[in-house]
Amino acid sequence: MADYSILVTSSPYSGTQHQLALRFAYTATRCGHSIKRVFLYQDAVLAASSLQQPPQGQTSIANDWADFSATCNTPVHACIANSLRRGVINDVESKRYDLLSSNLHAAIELCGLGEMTEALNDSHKVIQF
Amino acid sequence: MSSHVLIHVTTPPSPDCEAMEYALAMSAFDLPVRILFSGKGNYWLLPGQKPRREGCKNPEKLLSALPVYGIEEVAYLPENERIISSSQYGKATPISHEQATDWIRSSHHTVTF
Repeated sequence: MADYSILVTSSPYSGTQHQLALRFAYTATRCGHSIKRVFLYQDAVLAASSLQQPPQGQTSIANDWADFSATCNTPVHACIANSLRRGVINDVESKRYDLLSSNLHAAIELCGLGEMTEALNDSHKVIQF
Repeated sequence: MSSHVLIHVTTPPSPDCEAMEYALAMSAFDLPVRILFSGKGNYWLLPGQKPRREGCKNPEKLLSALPVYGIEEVAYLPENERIISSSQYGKATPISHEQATDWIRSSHHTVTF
């Protein structure tokens, strides 16, 4: 059985990379493999906003990642520098930069690239979407 | 298989140069990093570049910082003559598709931007 980490760099609003990543993650877990962590980088951090309101009948990608995190007990991290640039903010950063509000989904954590380095060290393979 | 992380850059510099930020961070955390430019990624190698937006990082200066971060293995696939003929970035070496394939095969992880 292998340890995987998932690196998502694609925007959740163009293409289906987040859906493919989720499908891979659930399937790998079901087959007995371990997903050590999910790391959102570049435009993928847009998936971490809790202020998404998809059309009726669709689920929010933030909630999809949150469900995966809870179901498979896998942390989902968003790169802090990439998130701040794109307006994905947690309470701490909101206070630090004197912003009006915060919007980071409660199930997702802002982290530095050190977390990604750990993922590279801990995992047999990093799968990028 | 080596413990190298291969950063394969296939897109031109973005305003915040996040591809190179990633490479520098990996190296700063002591992971051995190689960088391969190909396709539109070769635009990183053009001389005389300016930051894409005021206050942003200069791609050329980021490249010149690579040795400081311990990144010595930098190569490109010479696919675009116009870019390559005007490139003055002497630290990047041209490699063949076969060598690039070897780099990908022999790296522990490959991350593509």
